[in-house]
Amino acid sequence: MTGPLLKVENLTKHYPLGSGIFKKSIPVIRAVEDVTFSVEAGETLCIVGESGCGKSTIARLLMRLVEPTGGRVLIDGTDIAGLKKDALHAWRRRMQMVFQDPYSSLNPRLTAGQIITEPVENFERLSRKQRNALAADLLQKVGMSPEMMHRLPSELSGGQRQRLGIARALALKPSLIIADEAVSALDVSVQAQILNLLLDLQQQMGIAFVFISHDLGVVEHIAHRVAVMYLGRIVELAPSEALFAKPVHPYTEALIAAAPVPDPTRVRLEVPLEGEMPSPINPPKGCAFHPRCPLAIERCRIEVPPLVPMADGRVVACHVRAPAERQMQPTHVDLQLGH
Amino acid sequence: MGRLRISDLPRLARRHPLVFVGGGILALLIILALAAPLYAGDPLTMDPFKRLQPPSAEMWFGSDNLGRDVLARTVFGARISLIVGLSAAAATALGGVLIGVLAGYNRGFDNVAMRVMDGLMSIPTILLAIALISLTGPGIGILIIAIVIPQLPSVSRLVRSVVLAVRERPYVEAALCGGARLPKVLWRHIMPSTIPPLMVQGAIVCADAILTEAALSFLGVGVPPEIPSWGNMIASSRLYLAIAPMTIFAPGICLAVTVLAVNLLGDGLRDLFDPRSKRRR
Repeated sequence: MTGPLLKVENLTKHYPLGSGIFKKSIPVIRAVEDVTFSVEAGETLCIVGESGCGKSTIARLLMRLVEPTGGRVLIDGTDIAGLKKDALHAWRRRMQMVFQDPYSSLNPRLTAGQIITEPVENFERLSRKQRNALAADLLQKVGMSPEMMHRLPSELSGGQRQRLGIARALALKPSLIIADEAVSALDVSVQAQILNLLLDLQQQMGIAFVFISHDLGVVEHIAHRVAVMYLGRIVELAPSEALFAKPVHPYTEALIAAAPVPDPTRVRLEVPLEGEMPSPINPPKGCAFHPRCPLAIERCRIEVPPLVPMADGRVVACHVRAPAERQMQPTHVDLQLGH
Repeated sequence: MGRLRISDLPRLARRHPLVFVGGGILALLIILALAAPLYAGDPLTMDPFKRLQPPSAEMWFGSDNLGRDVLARTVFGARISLIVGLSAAAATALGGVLIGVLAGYNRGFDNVAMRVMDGLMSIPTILLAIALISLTGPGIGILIIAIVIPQLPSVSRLVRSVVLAVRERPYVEAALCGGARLPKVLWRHIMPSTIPPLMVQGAIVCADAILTEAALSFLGVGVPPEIPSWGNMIASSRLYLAIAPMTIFAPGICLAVTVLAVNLLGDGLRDLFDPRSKRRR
């Protein structure tokens, strides 16, 4: 392997609020702010965070459904933000997306076969026979029977529809699949089936995943590494086991503590997070998390904490737990418990 | 929707009687108009000795003030009404799709086109038709143009609103992610959604066009006076209403029935395409 498959450098997206013909400065929504990470071939990186933290915007930026305000997205070292139409068209083969909603992400007027073979037909001409063979092959890969290719999406269940969404993403044999909340619209039992399908496909085909989710249970199950986002920034990025065993950033800690655990006897650490996530139009000065952080010190109100690498391979943005000047083991200051 | 087979017709009649009745009357009218030379006489032959005759075995609807066969004039007049109605609806739909899709996908064009449409909306149809015809002389082509122009704003806005709503749907983004180019996305994923509202709107435009043609011909600025049209038949017969009522009833009733049929069809199509009724299919 030479270099990572996907490299994201200082990616930033600001959405202007309204058009500014008459106003000098328009307020902007800082959806994604200075995000940097990389994904190796065959790896699963999960991005977690509350709704509105910029997770989905990252997915759309990676697919170039929206143009970034700043920063770079490199696939095998090529910056896709600079690509012109034709080059972008060719590049789309490398990276595909699975959408959140299995209902609205499938065109209701097309049959299952038409939906999953369309990506290939955007690049090459298929005979009817080739198309049917391709559709049957793709359906089998996602555990559906080839007869389903003549069904309309409205004649399929939610799980089957999401399998179709995955089959569509697989059609171009991509090396990276971005899954934006790909299972959150499904029943729990179906979620497990779809997750296992994704894991199987990853093993068979060596596909890397960027898996966006708010469900920590799902993330723990599939992630190799996890990036935690808060208000458009990554606050902690760590190998999955390390993150769940010992969260360093206070927000990560609160997030993990707040996740429901399917074990009624386990005592939950109550780390009450007070208040709402601030507005990304006018984020707090300094560390965006400081108004809700139980550990906040004066410096947090003034200075944005940089991502500091730790000894166990994680990076954390926190003045208290990972002070920038001393790169060392995390100083684990205990949170105030609820009682 | 799928393909329509003969065996589906009884079910269509039961589920959507409006489509069935409206479409049936319209189909009958089209057949009668097309087959006119087979059963009706010459609508232009005058016979001064047989003026304002009552209905008879020879002339079923009697004759008009110049001794012309009213039945023949009525069925040939149907051709004018149907041609004007259908081609005005088709032209409006075509123009509306073109303007609406471009406006829905291009902000710059949208701003310009929608302001132009605002302007067009303020032009009264009858006035525009009179102005255009006084420039070029009477003719069906110019009549259709005069009817289409004031109808364009509503149809192109309708299409634009559908495009604006559909382009944000995840399946359109999914198509882009799959490497589909813009023309294909428009054609395969966006345009089909504009067809149901267009068909409903098209029926309304068609009925409106038939009435407008009749009104303009009645005023003498529609089709040239020698060509039989329901509008100019009513106009020339209004003086003889008391003596020969069939001369005015025949085209009048046909006009009313045609417009009613088109409107029924439009209402029926609206129900047919309503997603709430689609589930029960």
